[in-house]
Amino acid sequence: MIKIGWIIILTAALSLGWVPTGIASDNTSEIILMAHDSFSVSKTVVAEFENRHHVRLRFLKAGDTGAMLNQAILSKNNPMADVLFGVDNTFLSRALAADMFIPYPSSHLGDVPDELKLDPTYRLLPVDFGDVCLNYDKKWFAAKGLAPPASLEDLIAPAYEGLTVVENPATSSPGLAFLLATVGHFGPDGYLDFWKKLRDANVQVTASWKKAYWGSFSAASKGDRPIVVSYASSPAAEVHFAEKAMEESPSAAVVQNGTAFRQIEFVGILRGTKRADMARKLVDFMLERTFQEDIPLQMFVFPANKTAVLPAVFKRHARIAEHPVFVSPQDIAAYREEWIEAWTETVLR
Amino acid sequence: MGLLDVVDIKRDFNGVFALDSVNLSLEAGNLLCLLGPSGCGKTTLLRIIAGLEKTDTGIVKFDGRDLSRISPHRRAFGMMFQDFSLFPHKNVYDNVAFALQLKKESPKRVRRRVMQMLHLVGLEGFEMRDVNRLSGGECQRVALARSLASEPRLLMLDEPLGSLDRALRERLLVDLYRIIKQVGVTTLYVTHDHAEAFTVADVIAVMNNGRVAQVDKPETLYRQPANEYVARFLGFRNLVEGVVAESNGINSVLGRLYPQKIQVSPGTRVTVLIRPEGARIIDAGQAVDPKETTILGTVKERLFKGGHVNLTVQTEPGFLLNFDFSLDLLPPSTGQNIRLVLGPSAMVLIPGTE
Amino acid sequence: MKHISSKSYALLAALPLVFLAIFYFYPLIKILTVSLTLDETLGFGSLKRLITRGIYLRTLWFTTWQAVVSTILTLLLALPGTYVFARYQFWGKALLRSFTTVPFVLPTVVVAAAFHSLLGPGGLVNAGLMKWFHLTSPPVAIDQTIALILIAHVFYNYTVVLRIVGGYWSRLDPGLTESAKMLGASPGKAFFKVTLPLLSPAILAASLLVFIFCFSSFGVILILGGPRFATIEVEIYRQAIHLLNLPMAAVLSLVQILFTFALMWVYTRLQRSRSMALKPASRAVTQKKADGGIDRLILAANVSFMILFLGLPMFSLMVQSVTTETGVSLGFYKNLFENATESVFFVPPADAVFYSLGFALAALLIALTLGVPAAVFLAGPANRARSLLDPLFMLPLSTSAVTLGFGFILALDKPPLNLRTSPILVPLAHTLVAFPFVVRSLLPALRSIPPKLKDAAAMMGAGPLKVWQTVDLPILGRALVVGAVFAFTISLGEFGATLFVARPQTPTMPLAIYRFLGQPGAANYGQAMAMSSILMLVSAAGFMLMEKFRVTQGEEF
Repeated sequence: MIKIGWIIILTAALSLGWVPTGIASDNTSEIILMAHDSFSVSKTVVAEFENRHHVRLRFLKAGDTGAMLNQAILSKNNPMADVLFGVDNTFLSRALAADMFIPYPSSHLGDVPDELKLDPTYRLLPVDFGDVCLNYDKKWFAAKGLAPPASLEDLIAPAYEGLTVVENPATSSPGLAFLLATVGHFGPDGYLDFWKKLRDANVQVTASWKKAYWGSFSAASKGDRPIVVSYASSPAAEVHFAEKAMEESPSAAVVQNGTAFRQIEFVGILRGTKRADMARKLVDFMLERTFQEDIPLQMFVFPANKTAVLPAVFKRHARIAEHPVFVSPQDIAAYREEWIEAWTETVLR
Repeated sequence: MGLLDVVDIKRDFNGVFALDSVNLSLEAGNLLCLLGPSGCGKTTLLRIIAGLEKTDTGIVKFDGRDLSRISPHRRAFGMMFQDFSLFPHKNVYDNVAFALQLKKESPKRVRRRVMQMLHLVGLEGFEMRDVNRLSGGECQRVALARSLASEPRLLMLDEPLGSLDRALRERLLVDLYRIIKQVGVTTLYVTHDHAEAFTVADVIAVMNNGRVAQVDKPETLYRQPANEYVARFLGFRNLVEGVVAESNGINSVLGRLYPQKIQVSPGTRVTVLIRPEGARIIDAGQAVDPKETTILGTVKERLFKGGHVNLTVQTEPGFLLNFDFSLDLLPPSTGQNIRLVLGPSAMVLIPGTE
Repeated sequence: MKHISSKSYALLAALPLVFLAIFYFYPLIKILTVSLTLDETLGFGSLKRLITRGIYLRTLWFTTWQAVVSTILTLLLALPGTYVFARYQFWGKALLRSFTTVPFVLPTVVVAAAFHSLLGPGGLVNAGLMKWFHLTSPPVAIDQTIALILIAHVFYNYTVVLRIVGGYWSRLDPGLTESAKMLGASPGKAFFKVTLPLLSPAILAASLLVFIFCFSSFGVILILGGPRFATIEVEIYRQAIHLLNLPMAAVLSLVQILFTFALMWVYTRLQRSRSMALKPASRAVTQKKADGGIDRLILAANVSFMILFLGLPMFSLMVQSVTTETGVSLGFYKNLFENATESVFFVPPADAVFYSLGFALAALLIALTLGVPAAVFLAGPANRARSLLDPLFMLPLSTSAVTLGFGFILALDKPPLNLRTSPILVPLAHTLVAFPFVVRSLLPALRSIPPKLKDAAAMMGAGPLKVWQTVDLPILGRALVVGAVFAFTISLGEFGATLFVARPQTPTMPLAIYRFLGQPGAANYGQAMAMSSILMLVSAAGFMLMEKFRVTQGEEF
């Protein structure tokens, strides 16, 4: 019995040698895209790029946005990839300050709305955007005969006490986005007052989106909070990933003026890449309709290219915020820590 | 009614009787030996008396009281395990003092008693020693001191010499006996070695397959084993089967034998035990008593045993017998013919095989 | 009688040391120096902030006391169960033992979901209580409280105590407690005066591991405890990942490492001083069937506790994995095999299982290859080298995954160590965590081998290797299995570090689960539950298989 066991173990260990040992950085017939964990793209789109340019497109996933950016910065003198996708507007200034991208004013930028182009030096180009906003449980509000929230101010009204769950901006990206929404909406001098009132209204704070959504949001779990901070595309995701086909989404997004915060994701070519030419081709491809139209159902965010056609489920169930709250990347870089600490003092202590 | 009474103890494990209707009685101050091969149930019986195991039926009485409801730690019995089970995390002093410290005796009294015990077993000066570094004999003494320290009402020893080597065993046995008798504690001693049992016991209970085969004083046991099993267990090898004849005597392969007391009716099958020291060597022409049986044979094996010589003799019908002879009698060597005479005192009648 | 020369001992220690030097110290030093030099004050500014702002000291305090309380609680709840395993034979023992280890592999996110479905405001317990007692609001409100953190820690670590102390306890000669009883000790006194002191090396080993696990706890604190609670590990993560404040993260890492090193130094000395030679008793002697009322009661009570406390959350997970809108079905499991989104990152379940198992086996082999020599070395006579290396070998366990992950990026970027994008980094990272577990599992057993046994073998002409084979190895058999099981388990369930170093070509089961939970949708949730159930079943099967690999010769220990 023992002998057979050793044979099994050795075989398994040896067969791991079959596993691709790593990503070679000099091979000119491949190009490496480094992205965060939420990145996704369909096989056909990848195949199209590969066939068009006769190159292998390989991926390097490196944790969440913050982890990925850290890794990229730490390795910037000897980059692990050719192209980096996933820096968002909350990290934009930091990423640019690290000086690890080479500028590329792609011709496809013409199809991208100006308000998304936050980097005038064209080192980081916008690829997609998502609106972080409140989602609410339609059935719950209908049953209670209560109007769903239509503004941030609604959350602190007496009727809405104890109904909201938000994420900790210190540990959650949508949490930070929502905090920034309140900073943008109420101003750096007024947002703390809002949060004080929200805290008195028994708001629940979780560490991550997963915990809030799968643990507390009544439309998706056995939790008891009918209002959650999520994305404007979440209702579409509910429909798309439902068990059985549904006509209506169980949740809806609050996209009225001044309630949502736009998260824009950028792509950049890493300085030090030995395949700058192919990297440029990849960036172009990511701004083209083929790739852009694949984004919604893969990552559940909106394409930056305004000529891209949205899929049906998005057209029916996802909304784009008309006037999302805006906070400049420079301000975010300068005051992020201070805002988070002030928030922590106000809400958690 | 002795100090300790074991009444009709039965214990079975999944249909196999470990103990089957065991009855025993032990008088105060005596040493009772439970003698038997491994698996005969002696250790189980000991553990039942200690309270470490349950019995299916029957009771154990001590000083007239039924012990069934009394847990082992309240019985005030001392027990010495086969591998001593000394506490490895305590030194010699703390091992011996354990029972006394539990009783919350004053440190002065504890000290006095511990030193007394160490002196008794001959281990003065060993108090601070690490028990993991003691020799086998030293461990045994510490174990003894430990079990005697709290003046137990009954001392139980489970093969106390079992894990020691041969040379040590004999020396320690004598010491053990002396100490026990000096203290005067009633003792139950379990062993598989009949020589050991003969040395120390006041009474021996021979056990076989969960039953008590015979209970007797050592000398009685030796002189009159109750059945073939006991005889064989005690080391007797000269066992001859025979049938009781009409007139006196037993008809057997060796001819007619005349053991001392035949109280069994003729025609019964019996076994005759011939003592190893009960033979006489004679020359061809010597006169023989009518009640004596003559045996002719050849010496098959001659073993020198120091004080005597042990001969294995092959008798005419192809039967092997074993005898001890003093050196002075000049016993013959291997291959030589030998003529032996067996008197009635050399033979014991054993009723059955059991 | 010394039968291994000090030169050979030194060689034994060399192997794990070299490994640690390359894959732990080198990356660690690199990331710390780079992080600290990012700051003009070389980190001292951060250090000053750390000391002067009370919040960081409070974090350190909280980290410590929740780990202490968790450890004590785990010991209290797991020791009775350990007793049952050590002393009784009963049907289904191996199965139950595997079962109690499964929690260890579950990602925190999944455990959170399980506890939620049981103890959340809409969960089973509250629903039941509200119905029976006609209450209007859920009585059990432990979500995001310290109580839930403690419960989760016990849930995860029960098996550590069970296996490490259990293996050791089952070799304890019952004659010792019987002697104590015959000398007048009630069962309670016998336990406290004899059994407990003799068990202390194993208890110390187990509690050390549990303590470090809880001290560096991340997922449990973050997800189950919520934002009100922060440990150093969480703080390091926050500073590095969200605030991109590497100097502060580095300073915190250093504090964490130094603090745990000091603690472990004390601990390992304690453990060494309490070990003693034990005559190994075979299982035939130490274990028996439950006999009589009290025995059966103890057995039943503990087995029920294990099944309920550990089983209910896992059971509720499995229930959720087969609960679809149309009733009970294996629909989610079927969905696992379909690439519904046509994503290039689709993880076929077979692949996930294969890679998880592959990494786990690799980590197991490497951890054992390093752990056995390390343990043999540490079991030798006490000297300065050993008292230093003993806590040193434990360090990787307490070092933040974030710090190490970044360290790998910096350090392993040039040939011959060009491994930062290689999948081999996954089992290597796992080994760093598993190796201390292996060492801790083996040490009490190694130190308890009576020198007399070895001397006897040597006297009969056996050379050191043969002595090792015939004396040490059988006694170690059980401890080796325990170490192997832990290495395997840690790798299967490892999640934090793996997020950093895993590559999409080699997905593992926890990563697949995490992916499913990244998007809304009932189908995603169901598939996450299904994959979690597969993870549980694969783990349990793995454990049971390993139990058969007992290296015995003759008498079973």
